[in-house]
Amino acid sequence: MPILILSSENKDLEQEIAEKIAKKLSYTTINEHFLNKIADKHLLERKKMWEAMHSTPSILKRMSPKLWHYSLSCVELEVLERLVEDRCVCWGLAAHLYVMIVSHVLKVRLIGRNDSCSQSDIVKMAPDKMKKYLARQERDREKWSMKAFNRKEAEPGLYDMVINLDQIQVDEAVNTLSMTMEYPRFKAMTYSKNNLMDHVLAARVKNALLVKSMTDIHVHTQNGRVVVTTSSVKREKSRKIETIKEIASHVKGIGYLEVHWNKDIITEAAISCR
Amino acid sequence: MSKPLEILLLDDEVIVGKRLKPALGSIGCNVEVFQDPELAVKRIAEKDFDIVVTDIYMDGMDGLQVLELVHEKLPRTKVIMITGYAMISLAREAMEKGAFDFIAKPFKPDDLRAVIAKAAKALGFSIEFNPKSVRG
Amino acid sequence: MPGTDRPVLETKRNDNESGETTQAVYDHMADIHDAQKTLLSRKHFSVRNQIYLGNVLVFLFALVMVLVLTLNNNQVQKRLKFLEFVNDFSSEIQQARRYEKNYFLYGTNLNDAKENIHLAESIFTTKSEEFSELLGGQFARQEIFSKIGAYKTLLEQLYQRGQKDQNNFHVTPFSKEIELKLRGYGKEILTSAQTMITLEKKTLEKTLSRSRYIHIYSILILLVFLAINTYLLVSRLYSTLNRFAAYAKRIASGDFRPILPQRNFRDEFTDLAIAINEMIKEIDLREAVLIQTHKMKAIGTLTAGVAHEINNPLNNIMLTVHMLLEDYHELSEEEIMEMLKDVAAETDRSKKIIRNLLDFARESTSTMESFDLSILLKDTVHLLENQIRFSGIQVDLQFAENFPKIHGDAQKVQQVFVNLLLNALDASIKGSKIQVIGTLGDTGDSVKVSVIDYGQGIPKHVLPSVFDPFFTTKSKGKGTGLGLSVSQGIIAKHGGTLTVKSEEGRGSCFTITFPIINFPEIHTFSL
Repeated sequence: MPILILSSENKDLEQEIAEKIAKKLSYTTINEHFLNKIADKHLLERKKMWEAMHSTPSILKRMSPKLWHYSLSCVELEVLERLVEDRCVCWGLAAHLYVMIVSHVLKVRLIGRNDSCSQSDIVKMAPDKMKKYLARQERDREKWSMKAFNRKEAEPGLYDMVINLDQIQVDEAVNTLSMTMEYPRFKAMTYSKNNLMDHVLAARVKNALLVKSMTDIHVHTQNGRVVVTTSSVKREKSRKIETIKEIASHVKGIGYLEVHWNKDIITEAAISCR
Repeated sequence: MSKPLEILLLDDEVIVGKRLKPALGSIGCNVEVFQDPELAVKRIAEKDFDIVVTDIYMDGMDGLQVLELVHEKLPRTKVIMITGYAMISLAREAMEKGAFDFIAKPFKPDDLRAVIAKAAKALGFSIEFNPKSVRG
Repeated sequence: MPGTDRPVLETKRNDNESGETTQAVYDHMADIHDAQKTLLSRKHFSVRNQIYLGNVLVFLFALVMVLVLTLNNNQVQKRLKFLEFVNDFSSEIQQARRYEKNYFLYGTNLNDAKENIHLAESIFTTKSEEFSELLGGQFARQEIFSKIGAYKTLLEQLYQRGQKDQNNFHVTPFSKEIELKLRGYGKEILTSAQTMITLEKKTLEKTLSRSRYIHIYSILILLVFLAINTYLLVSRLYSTLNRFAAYAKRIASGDFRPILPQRNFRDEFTDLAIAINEMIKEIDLREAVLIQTHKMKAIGTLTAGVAHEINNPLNNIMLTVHMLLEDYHELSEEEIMEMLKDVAAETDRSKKIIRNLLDFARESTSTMESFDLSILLKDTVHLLENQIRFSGIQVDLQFAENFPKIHGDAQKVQQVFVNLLLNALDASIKGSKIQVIGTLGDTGDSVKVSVIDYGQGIPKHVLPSVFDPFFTTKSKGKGTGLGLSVSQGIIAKHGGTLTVKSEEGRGSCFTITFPIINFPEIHTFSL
């Protein structure tokens, strides 16, 4: 049975459906409340962790890009570690954005029923005001997901299924989803498990590097082989590569490691202009 | 059961057969190797295999067709797909058509052995398999 | 037309063609530079100047005409006046003679005659100065004067004698003698006046007719002049505009050769030509970027295939190496050698797979060479092997025996075929086939390569626009719509054509025609 990831702007209905499915299939659940646990584990402020998940870095909110990236990396790592344990329903964490190519993860977008949201005061709003509010919210989410994963969270093409709750009842959605999850095509297999493991490994390496305040880190893993791409000014090249190798070598499950280095043209230019 | 596990291995890459035959033989499987899907299909019609390991993109016939033919003849046969052209859509299609597992190339012999062991277990066989090498 | 052909540059180019093949077609930046310089260095003769010059000439001509006519008119007036004067003069003389006759016949008063002759003399004295020229110079005038004087003296004599013996003096022999003399003088004066009148009348007629001719001819000449001027101007404008229109069409079809200098003067069109050459330079640079960008897109598609294809040799290496690690001690030396050889061979294979793509991807300076299309197509199909395999479509290559070589930039031509084949693969349904057929052209001086698919075809209403830039039927984000337009540009540069036939639901056929070897026939545009 596949892992289920839900994504929706309608938090209440999303939660209702997720919990119903989890109960029906006796799956575990991960949702936004998991953020507190993650924050505790990685010694981050809970409030900051929530902020990082909902807004882009800004000076006003005293959220540096570094902290923001690190927070997201923590979330990604912990969520992936949980997903590896299989049999779980995950929602509200934008997790589908980092398991795009894992075939045994069913990614579902729930849309519609904006009127039933209780999480804020939308209900009391006039229709046109509500529309504006929702549009702004959507824009903010898009901005966040573009900045974090370079993808638009709400784009239908990123999902296996989009369910319109204006047309489909909650229980129907629960049934449809649990039935879909039984399709053989969503069964876990060596290939997809390896893919998921690769993601976990990449997330571990990235997190380990970010916690040591390395910047400009991109980690890609395939078949357990880790490739870290980074950039720096030329004179720091060997030092940076050494540091990355040193840090990454202590990561759990690491095998083959490669570091690819690019010249940081912008900083280099800035230095030469001084 | 003392009967060895009957395996048919189909891949148009000669080396795959050359290496996997002894690799699987060492865990007590009886392996027949084919490069030509037509011949393999003929052989499948003649003999009941417990496990069929097949590549997907081959000249003449495609692994998914082999999978369907195998299941037409003997549904209990476990079919394991191995391909260099692994993609999420292809993987899902193979699973939907009833593949037991789907392995992306390149893989290590132990990866396949692990899957074979799992398939054997599902078939009621038991295979001695202790992974020797580590990941990476 | 002042623009004469200047074949110097032309010949130089022809030498280039035969010698260094057609480097010029792609690397004509230097050409453009040369052309610009030569265009600029020529003498200036603008259309504006031509218009000005024409107008000034017309004006001058008209001015001359007016002057001539005015002079002529003056002359006519003068002659008329003269005629009037001669008339007056002769009528006075006649009058005087009539009185004189009367005197001799009837012995009437001679005073009237005297008065008349006096009047005639005064007329002649006052006006003769004015008309001395017409009177035939000083001598003729003097003669008339002397005759009048003589006449007058005779009359005076007669008068004096007549006063002395009053009666019948007029019949005396003396007076008879005088009468004879008088009659002779009077007649002479009259005759000369009369001659003058007839002469003058003739001249006047001549002058009048001359003035008429001047009128007619000058208008005719003016008309002819205007016609010639207009013709020159119009033909200059019209023919150049026509050439520019033809040239613009050629640019639109992707032929970016510069305008070459041919005339030996400069005008507004030269400025236009220079501007167009500048534009071509820009377009050319942009097109090069466009071609490269488009190629990168194709490479992106191909890379996905190669990334997968390489998994096969990688898998072989991995399996072999792991089996070596596992069974090293149990294997015979021969077996180990065989396995190591396998590894070596598979690494070579991986290298080849990547090399193929790299060869295609390499950003090359365009090199013109003669090459075999059938081999190029074979390589191209090989390059697209993965895409062909994914789509489950069979690609048939059929080339005529002894297929002639063509001349051009093999890399760019390959890019066109990659594009056409990728399109065909996109359009085809699984299990169908794509045919690539190479034949000789109908006239034998060209070759044709058709890429035929049996896919969905192109709807009739979009068929005319498939070569338009940015036209695409693919969903947003999948195609840029530049493929066919860029391809057509590349083929046009090779002096060939890219055409399409399609039937909705039945398939499409893209045909490329290349001229054989002697490519390209350069119809250079010159100004």
